[in-house]
Amino acid sequence: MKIHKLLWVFFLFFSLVSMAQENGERVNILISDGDFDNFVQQIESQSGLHIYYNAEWFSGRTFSYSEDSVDVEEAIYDVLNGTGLHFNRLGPKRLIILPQKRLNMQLPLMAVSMGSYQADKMGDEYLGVKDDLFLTGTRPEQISRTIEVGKRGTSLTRGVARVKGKLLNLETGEPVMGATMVDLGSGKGSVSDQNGNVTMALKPGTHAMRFSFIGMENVNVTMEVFSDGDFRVEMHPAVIALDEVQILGEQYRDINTTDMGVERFSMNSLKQVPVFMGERDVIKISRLLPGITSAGEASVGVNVRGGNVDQNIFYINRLPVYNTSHLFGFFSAFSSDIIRDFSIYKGSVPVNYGGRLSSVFNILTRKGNNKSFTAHAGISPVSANVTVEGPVKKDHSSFLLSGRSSYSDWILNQMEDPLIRDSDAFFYDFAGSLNFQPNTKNVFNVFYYQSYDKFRYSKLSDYEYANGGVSVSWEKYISPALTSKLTGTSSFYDFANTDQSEISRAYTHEYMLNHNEVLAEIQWVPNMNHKVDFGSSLIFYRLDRGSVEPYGEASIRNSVNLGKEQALEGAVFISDNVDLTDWLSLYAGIRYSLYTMLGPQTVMLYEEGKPKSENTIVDSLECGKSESVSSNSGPEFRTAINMKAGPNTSFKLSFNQMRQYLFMLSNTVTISPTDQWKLADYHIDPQSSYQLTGGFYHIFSRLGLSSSVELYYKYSKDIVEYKDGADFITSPLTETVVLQGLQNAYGAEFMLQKTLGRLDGWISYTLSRSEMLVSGDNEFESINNGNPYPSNFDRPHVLNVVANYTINRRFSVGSNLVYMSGRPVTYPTSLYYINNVAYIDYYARNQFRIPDYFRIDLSLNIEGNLKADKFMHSTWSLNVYNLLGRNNPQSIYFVPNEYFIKGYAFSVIGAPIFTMSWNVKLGNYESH
Amino acid sequence: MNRAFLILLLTVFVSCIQGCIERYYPDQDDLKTGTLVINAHLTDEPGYQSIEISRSVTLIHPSLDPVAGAYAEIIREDGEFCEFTEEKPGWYVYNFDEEFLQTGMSYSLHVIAPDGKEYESEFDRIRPVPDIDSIYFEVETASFETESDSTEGVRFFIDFTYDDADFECLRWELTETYEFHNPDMSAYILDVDFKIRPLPDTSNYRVCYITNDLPSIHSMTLKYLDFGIYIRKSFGFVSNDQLEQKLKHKYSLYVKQFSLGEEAFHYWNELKKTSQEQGFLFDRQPALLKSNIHNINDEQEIVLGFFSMSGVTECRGFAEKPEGLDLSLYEYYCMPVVKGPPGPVSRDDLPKYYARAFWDGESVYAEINKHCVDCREYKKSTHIKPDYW
Repeated sequence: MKIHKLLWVFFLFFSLVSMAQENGERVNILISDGDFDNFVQQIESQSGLHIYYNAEWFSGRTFSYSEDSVDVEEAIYDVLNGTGLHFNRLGPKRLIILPQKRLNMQLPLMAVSMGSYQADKMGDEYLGVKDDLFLTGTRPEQISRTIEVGKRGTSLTRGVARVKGKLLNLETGEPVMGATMVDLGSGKGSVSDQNGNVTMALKPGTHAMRFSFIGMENVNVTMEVFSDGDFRVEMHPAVIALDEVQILGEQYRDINTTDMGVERFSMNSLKQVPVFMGERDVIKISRLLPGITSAGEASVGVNVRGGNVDQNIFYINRLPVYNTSHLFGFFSAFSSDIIRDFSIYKGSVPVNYGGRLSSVFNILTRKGNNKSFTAHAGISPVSANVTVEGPVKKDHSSFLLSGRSSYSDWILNQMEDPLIRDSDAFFYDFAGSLNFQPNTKNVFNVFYYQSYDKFRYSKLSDYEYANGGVSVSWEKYISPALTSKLTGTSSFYDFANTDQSEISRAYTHEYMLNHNEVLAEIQWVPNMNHKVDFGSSLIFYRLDRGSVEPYGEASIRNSVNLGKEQALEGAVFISDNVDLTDWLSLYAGIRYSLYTMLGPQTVMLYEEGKPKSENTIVDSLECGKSESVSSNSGPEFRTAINMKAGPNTSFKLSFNQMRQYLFMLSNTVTISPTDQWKLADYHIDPQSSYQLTGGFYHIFSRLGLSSSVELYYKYSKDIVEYKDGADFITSPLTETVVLQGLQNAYGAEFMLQKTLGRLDGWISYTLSRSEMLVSGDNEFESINNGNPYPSNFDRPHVLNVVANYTINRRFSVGSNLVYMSGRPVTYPTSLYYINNVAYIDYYARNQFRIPDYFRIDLSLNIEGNLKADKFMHSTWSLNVYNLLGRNNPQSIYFVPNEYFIKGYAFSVIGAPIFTMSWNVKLGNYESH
Repeated sequence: MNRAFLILLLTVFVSCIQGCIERYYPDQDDLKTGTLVINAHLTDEPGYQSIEISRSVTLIHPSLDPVAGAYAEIIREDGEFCEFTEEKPGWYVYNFDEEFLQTGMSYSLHVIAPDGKEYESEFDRIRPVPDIDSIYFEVETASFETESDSTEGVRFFIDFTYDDADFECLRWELTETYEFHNPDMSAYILDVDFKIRPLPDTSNYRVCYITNDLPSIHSMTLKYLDFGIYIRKSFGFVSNDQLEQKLKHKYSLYVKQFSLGEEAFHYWNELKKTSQEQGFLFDRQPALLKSNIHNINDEQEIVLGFFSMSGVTECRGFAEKPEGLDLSLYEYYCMPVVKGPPGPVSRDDLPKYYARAFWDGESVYAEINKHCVDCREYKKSTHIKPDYW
């Protein structure tokens, strides 16, 4: 029997076609202009419930309602919406309908201790009522409660009130970012920011509101709006409720907002996704989303919508991280234990972000539990981590400290490649956060992050690199309509490298980049139809590209100083989110960025019409300290339109313009640890892109399915490409080895996501192309003879299936299926002989492809027992990565000898990898 | 505690993880052959020099595809020219005199293919080449995959001085010669008359000399080096392989040093990179080698190969029984393993060669390979001692 069940589970596990059936109080209702009695009759006859109400209240009213297998409470909620009547559950089989918002039963002790919804007046005083879960049984999210906002009797001259809410995690007190607040009557909504703040303009009166966020239980409330005011909603983390419906706000966000090409996830919602080597990794998970790919397992960063790896910026609490990988790219530099949620902007990017052409990854960490001390720890085959958090002053300030370190490089010793097998590796990362909220008007946060890697590649190379920095933010709530935030960040990225692969050319090199930024952001909600964001930022870049020094006595290499660079990048931005009608909303924004490279700098001038090289230098320019070497500026228009075709359907269009002032010097297919970031300069122009996106979104609400189709075309110019054989350490004159060209990327992204019930996950398919063209006036200014060629990361077909199945609260399984077209590669097409030795002829760049990539992963997650009273709760995770043991080549290479040539395919992972990881936290199953 | 320990053990359990390198066969449809290849690297050395003209060939079962019937000439900047004659298919030679080849002068290549297409190269100047001050070797231990997997051998070096601003880039061609000895043993021949008799000494070539052109490309730019420095250039490691015997008796390395311009250096450097094994995580984008020879009527036609003019100098170094190396012979080399006496054999298989060997305490004939009695059969060697030996 057990085997039978397991087979059934696995069948479901691999197939998203069959959807799990939901078990609840579900009824079929069909009323067309019928009275309320008829409605109640239908419910009572099918569910066995008894509904008490005063028939006079419904006298003369008719109702139309048609739904199959609808949840009883959802149906009643929908029918009562707008009547001023509310229902409350009296017990398992009884409901009562009353004009009051709640049934006022005096059970104060329980009511206080279990309170979950609170509402504030303008100040700190609660306006609303304490929650009374004793009425709601086990399904509090289905019951409508009342929150009163503003002062009774206030008359509003402008006709609307600006309500500002704070959405908090009930258990930890942490803000909930990305949650939606939707006015079910008008269909309008708003999304909470990273501090859990959500703002809307509403007409005075009663509104049925729904608060939703992935990984949280929905909160339905009746909001009585009198005037401007604040409120607070505490959301309960979703305990996996097998029988219940979770309608996720994320789906409705796609319908209700102008966002396009935006992905948001909370780490809670990704717990079941299979992982590599037991390490939960946001970057690897992001590669399962449409439009996001990578070169393979051991590769740094991601390629978003056909863009280079250096076209993405990664923020962790607004701190930029320039190298996001550990251990050759096997793992990301972000410990998942501290990540609360992350957002990826790859289509329409808000105006307060800039500086990269393809995407912004915004990772937000947990702020720390401000209610009680807690700790988490985990161990995987590669690393161990520990996190400690707790209140400094309860409900007002909290801290979080987290560290992770590898404890063994045994993984390398298992590799077949002798050079990797003979290598050593070590890494760690550390993060600390202090969050302080002295009152409801001010929030301060200090965040520190550092990651470090060191590895020795056989006896040939030593690498060492580190990221780090600190961000300080102050958020001030000036009024319900006006919020400001000031952020200061200082981050660094450095590396050191010793290369002994050729003794006579052995060298050592150190590199350092500093990024210092001040960012001011203000949000203003003038009325119910506008939400205005504006602000400015200033970045000061400082790069020391370092000296390349000879290493060892046998090295005859000359010392080369690659030079120092510094630049200022400023931006001012403003955007307005306008609701033009009930069905049409518009996002219009502009970001104007200015860039100046500063001296001291010596700029070489080259002979016109000749390739830039040391031999064609005709003059030089000396730029003094802080003198402008080159400058550039321009507008970045960001617009989007959302046309709703119903509560569950919308069409969108967006135009997005971006500019990028620094890039990575890399001529390898995957980013290597010695690749240098470089600023745009006198000779190398900033890169820019223009992206047009169109999308269709539809929610199949009863099935809990959301679907989207996004079409995009991205045109980028001045993309930096490298001449054949480019070397970045023999000369500081980068302009002699780079060329700039055009990049065209276009594609269609299809996404079907299921968030209901036991089986959840998504299927995404991306059809896309990405092409480069470097064609100058002269032959030496061209690559591939001036013909277009596929970019290194052009993968026309990408299919991802993520399916998770929750067996019960203790057991869940997950699976990934990944298929990608092979990436382009330059193959030899023939052989030729020079001095009787056979050499390879590479005919054209990237004209061929490595074999397609296909992988299936499985995971089994086991929670410890569900006892409420326990000191510690464990979770085990068993993962199988690459279940089929398929060799997915990361690269193809050819080795000629005197007589013929042999081709080889190199796969990083050539076998199924079974791993088990163990995580533990203080408290019980529900503790956070 | 025990439970936690057990969990820890389970945690670190991993069935396997390994990368994989396997053979890869490109699709035949992807192959493109027939591209014209012109290999013309001439020097300031008087005498016969050659130009090779061929076409690129398939990756599978390749063999040289020479272009016969072409016309080739070298044109000097002052209009003087030399016409090459075809000595054998695809092989064009000219006997240069000292007057035509002048350091500091520029030359261009002009080729007319049999199909009438005309090709010409950029002009390339003969640059001076530094003299080689010395050539010597050092004994060293080379580690390969692991510490335990290492071998001893020698590495040759040359010294020269960067004392002329006109020295730009250098390239080296290497040729090795070494003495090879067959084991000392009594050999027998089973001749066509089906009789076994001792092999006469005159037929037993035991000492040979093997000469190989080393295919590895060595090149260097002096651009980023300090002017006036003394440069010590190392070459490849010569392993003390007991079977090969390269260092057992006497080893010689002949070094030809060529001067190059920057473009030619770039060409050789890229050619070297394309021939080096790749395949690690940080794969480099292969370079599409650009020739300085082009079709004068069709700039888009791709031509492979390169034309360069170089100054040349040369030297030879020896390593004779280097101290510090184990120079014992590989004891199993030419050891007879097949027991005789010979059974029925076809006349076509004769002659066969035998040595005496003990088999179950009995002295018997045992078959050996021909190269064990005639070292000339081994690796294209010769029994004629080179005059520099």
